[in-house]
Amino acid sequence: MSGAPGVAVGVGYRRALDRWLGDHLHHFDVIEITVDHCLSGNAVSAAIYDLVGRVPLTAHGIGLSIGTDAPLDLAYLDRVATVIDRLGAPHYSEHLAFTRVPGRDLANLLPLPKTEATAVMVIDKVRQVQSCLSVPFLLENIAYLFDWPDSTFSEAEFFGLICGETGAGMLLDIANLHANAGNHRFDAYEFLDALPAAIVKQVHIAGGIVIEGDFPVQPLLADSHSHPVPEAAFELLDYALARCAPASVILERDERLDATAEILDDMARIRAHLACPIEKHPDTEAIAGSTS
Amino acid sequence: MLARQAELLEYLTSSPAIFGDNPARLRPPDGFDRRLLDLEARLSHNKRLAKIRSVFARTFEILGTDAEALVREFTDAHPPTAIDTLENARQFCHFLSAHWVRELPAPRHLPDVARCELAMAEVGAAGRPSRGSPPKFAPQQWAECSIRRAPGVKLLRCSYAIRSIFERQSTATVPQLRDTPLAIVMLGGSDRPQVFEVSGFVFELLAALDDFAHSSTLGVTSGLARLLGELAEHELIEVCP
Repeated sequence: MSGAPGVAVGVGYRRALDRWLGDHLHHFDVIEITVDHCLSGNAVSAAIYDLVGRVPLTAHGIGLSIGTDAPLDLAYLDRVATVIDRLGAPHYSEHLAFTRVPGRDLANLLPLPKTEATAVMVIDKVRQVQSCLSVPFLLENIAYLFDWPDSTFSEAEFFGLICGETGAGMLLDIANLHANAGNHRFDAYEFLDALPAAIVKQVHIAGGIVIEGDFPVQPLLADSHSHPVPEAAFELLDYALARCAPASVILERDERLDATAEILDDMARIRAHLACPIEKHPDTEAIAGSTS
Repeated sequence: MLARQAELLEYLTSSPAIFGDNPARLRPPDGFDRRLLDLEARLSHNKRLAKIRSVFARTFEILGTDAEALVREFTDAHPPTAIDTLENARQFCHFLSAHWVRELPAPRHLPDVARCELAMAEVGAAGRPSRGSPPKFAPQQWAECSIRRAPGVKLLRCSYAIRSIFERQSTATVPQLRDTPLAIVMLGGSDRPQVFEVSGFVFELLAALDDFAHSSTLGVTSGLARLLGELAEHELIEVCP
């Protein structure tokens, strides 16, 4: 079903989509599973494991908080490793962010100060994660509303440093990049140019909303995963695909899940963009050549 | 850096940041743009509240405009400690219980509704354990089997007959004050938990059947055999021949 050879196209599993997904698996090359939903052995995990063997699955996490400056929760990581093995996932992705400190969990992804000291801390954590897993580890860029005052690296440099030191890949979230560029007034294309092309192993894409209101950022681009992917995000996808060779492009959808026609339409649009002849960046040709 | 992360999270989960109350009470960490932090705090709080509201839809409907003050009190007293919807819901339910010890709930059946909604969420999250069809036993066979409360069944003893609120999808009804034993279960073929009102005897029986017990210990009569058949049919007990 893929629009471009070697690039799988899929969607993130959500409980509310379960029955619909089961009936429409033929539309997807891959389904992304949030591993945290498999940890409690509940109804959701049973439905997810029912997909094993029916469609390729990838593993994504939301609960690691790798950026918290405290020891990693190794028990959590052990459980995640078990889930990954059971899913047969080819890699595991998490966010380059923090969500909690001991005793308090915002349950929302927060940025890290992009400094050398933070990079050293995260690099150590990434190596621990890698030592616990049997599959490659990917780090995802988040959507953020504020930045730390002491950041010294750009986000692209920060990813390049951490991924370069550890061999971890990057999960490039196009929607987050699009929202950040709009909210913080930077050039998303320059961000993509500054990324080492070889680090991008997977892509997320989604549609958010624009919120007008009494915000310090106006208008606010919210990464709500609620609407069709905007054309501007597809233009960024095209640009990224000319520079990197991801294994898969995953559509994220968390709201208005009853609008399944929009999901299928987005899938078709992703495939159409993958099928478009893209003038490859010279570095990408080299990557594709080295991995084929 | 952990201390700075903790300071940031303390600010982002505080009432001054979320509601703009009394901004002098807590200053944001040095160097950050307060307006952006406050926006992050509000959006994060809204996400948390959406999780809680998804569990306590009827409780919030009954609370009406009183909910706002309660939510503020809850936010101040109970910063988020987990990402999980159920954990946040349990936190909110514990807060409500403690609040209603200090102040009488209005209406008085509200604690029952809240506890029932939490129980339904817990049963729904656990899902329906895989089990076969209930056995079609002859009456005498019920005296020679082992039974236990079906895994996933929640028992709840309420002071008001609140089941009507869940049956009629309406919170306008004022339920009758009477002892109301409930059993909440996820039935096969259903995507939401069912709330059964059971007799006091059945409630006690189900409560006692944590583990498999041989039915002969119950002194099975033809009446009890019929009852066990019904309980098995409604997936409230699990039977091992």
